[in-house]
Amino acid sequence: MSTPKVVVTGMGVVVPHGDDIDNVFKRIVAGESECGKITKFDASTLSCQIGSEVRYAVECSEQVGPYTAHNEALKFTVGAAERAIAYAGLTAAEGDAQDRRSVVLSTGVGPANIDFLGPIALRLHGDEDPYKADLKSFYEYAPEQPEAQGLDDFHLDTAAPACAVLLGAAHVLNTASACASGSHAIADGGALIRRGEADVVLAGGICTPVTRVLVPGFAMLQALSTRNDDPAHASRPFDAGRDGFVMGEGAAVLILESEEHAKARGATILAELAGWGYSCDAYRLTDPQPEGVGMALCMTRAIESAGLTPEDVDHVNAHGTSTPYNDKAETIAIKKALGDHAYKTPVVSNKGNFGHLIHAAGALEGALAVQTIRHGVIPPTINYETPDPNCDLDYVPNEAREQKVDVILKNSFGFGGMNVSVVYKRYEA
Amino acid sequence: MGTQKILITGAGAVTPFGLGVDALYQGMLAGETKVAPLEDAREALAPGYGAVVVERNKAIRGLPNSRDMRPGTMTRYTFLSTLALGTAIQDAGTTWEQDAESLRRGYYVASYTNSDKFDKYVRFAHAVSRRTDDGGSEIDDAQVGKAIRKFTSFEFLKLMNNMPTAHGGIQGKCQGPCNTFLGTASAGLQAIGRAYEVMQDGLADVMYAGGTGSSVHAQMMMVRATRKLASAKDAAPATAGRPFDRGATGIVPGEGAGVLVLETEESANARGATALAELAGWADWFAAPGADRAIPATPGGPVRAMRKALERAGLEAGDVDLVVALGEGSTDIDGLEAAALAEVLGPRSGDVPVLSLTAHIGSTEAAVGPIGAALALRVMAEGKVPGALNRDNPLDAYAGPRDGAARELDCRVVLVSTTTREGVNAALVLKAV
Repeated sequence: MSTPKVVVTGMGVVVPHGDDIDNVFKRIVAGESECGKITKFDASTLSCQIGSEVRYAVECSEQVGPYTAHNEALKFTVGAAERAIAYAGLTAAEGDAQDRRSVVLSTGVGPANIDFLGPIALRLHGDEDPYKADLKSFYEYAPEQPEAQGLDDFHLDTAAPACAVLLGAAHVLNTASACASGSHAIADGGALIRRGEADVVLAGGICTPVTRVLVPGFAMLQALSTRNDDPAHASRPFDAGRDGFVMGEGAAVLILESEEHAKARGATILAELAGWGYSCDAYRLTDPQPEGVGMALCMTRAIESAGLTPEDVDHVNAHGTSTPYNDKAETIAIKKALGDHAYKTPVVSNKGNFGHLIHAAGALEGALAVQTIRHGVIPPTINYETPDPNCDLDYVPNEAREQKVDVILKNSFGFGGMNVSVVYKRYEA
Repeated sequence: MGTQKILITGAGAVTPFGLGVDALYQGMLAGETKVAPLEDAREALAPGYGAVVVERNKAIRGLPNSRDMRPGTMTRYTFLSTLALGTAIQDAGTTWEQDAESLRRGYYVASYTNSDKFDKYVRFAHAVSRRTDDGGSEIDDAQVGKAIRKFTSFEFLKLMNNMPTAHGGIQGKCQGPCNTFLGTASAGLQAIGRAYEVMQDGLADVMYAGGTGSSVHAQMMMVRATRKLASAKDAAPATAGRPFDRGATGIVPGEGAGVLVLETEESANARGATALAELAGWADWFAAPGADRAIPATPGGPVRAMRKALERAGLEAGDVDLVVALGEGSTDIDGLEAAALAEVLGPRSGDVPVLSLTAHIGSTEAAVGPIGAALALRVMAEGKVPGALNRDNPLDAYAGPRDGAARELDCRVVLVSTTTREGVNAALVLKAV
């Protein structure tokens, strides 16, 4: 029996640039940024005041089976999943057919919102010094308070099951590999189909990290840009002036399908998910291995998994976070993986447009990679002004480039040294 | 199921009984429980008791690559998984150097959350809240910048849900597939099952796979208390964990971690490793809960997971010598699980021992499946199975043995099964080599 070919037949997003992937792609190609001053809360006293937010009302079902889309993260998830399923022209499977459908969703951060604890503590302890207040009395009092239901928002454990109800899937995986998560979920979904276990997989990620805890928290790690006076230019991958990433929020999922299943139902095939590779730096929690060893390893593994050679790669959709360490190490790694061909290969990071959607980043950028193949236009790396001698590849600075692209290598690298690369390819019957 | 035989060549755990699988096994054989009153602020959270891992930071010393491991950079979840992984590596005798073998080595671990010191979140939220004129409250954002300085930068990094895997990747020098699986009781078996699959895909020769969990963590205790899932406050701790029993009142908090070492037969043979068992099959099945997230009315989900796992293993229900089940200690979900076991095992239900960790170490969330599998390996090796503790008045749906005494058992096939309130069910089949 031949190995099933994995194809992409649907895409759904709820991201800062909008909830229509075709229009989102147009805006990315036009070089538009959605990075701006944070509006969800007053960040004016924080060292980082920039975020990439979903600043529109998300339309989605409020109730999915037993699950209520009662918070922003779930609305993003349900909204993206519904759009992807509709894009693919699928309906929910029933009965035994559900055994051939899976969901692989990354939900690493969730709402990460602890605001609900404040009113409880304030009501109990008043103006008492919070750092001396008696915790025991808080624990006796808090569980009975209505705000304590906010703890349900702490764990985003209904997001993937809600997607499974929408798709009619009997298999649900909820995973997290930090910033590699979105691509990781797509790779894992592809593996299910290639292995013959599934015909249809909904795969992607959701992240809502623009909170009053995580923004200053990650700023303390010196991971975020502090270019507060110029938010639209804060995320500047591969530019010499880059100083960190911009937190972004949203959800993005792809519908993956076996070629046979897609053809049998007459679906439009958008691209092939040709291969993927995983690696772990096994180095440090915060920094990528400086010589890009793990990054190069997963790129090489992905290219091999696709049955291709480095010379077949037409374009790299980079992780490109806009942090000094990542972009330098990724550049080194691309050169390791592609050899001299790296210098002939356009390398783009979309994070200049929308910052870093963490667990959803790889899925959104994967959808944009699919669009790049379909439309023959490589989006630009925006905010690229000053070349960095450590980053010496063709980053398609600031202006989109019309170019036929058949093979895209998509990189996603996470805190903790987790690396995933995915190969998207023009579909040929 | 797969074309490669996947062997289990080691197992590690940390539980309230101590470090290593044998401490748990011996404690369970003796019919002991580690559930006891809590002696800090958590005693105010229902139920006020639980089973706690007592190992301190220094327990990491002596484990593989301990010089690279910094307990201060770990949450409780990561600390527990680090101990379990370290003991698993020692048990299997795999290398922990960064060399050619590490390129073919990976780590999958499951955790429900990766939260840290909940008291700090409470105090932070209090510090940034202020009263409003109408008697309510609001966030005073001007205080956030000051309040956040009570945290260190690393406290945010260590909260990321992939950190147990990230630390384990460094500890075990794993440069192959590494990932974190999120979820409650079934996530640990999913991590093991997916590890099996990446090995079938030819991406690794050795996979460490397991789960970590702490429901005695203040945040999780508050979650259970808020959802009215905690066991009764007035119950006697030693008898509070009552899997499949009519007297069960809810979840008994516990904690621990378990990790299996999976290895291709070729790799194990090449280094002369001893196989503890074969990982013969696995499956999962999602069946959505009912309205208001109620437990499903029928046990179709866990039944399908168990039957599919057995089918993939090329076995039948009649081959099963031992079941390691969840047995959460809540009558609703235990009833569902008991009905599923009765349906799968059929007329043999009364003869096949059903182990549950709950009465001994409470709920360990995503770790329960991996710890249960590690325990099953000891039963297979020693030929003796612990008795059913606190199960003297079983639910109607429960058809298994209720004898509290340990007994001899020729155990060649084990079915490990978990079911969850979210509707994710998983099953694993272990077979003697």
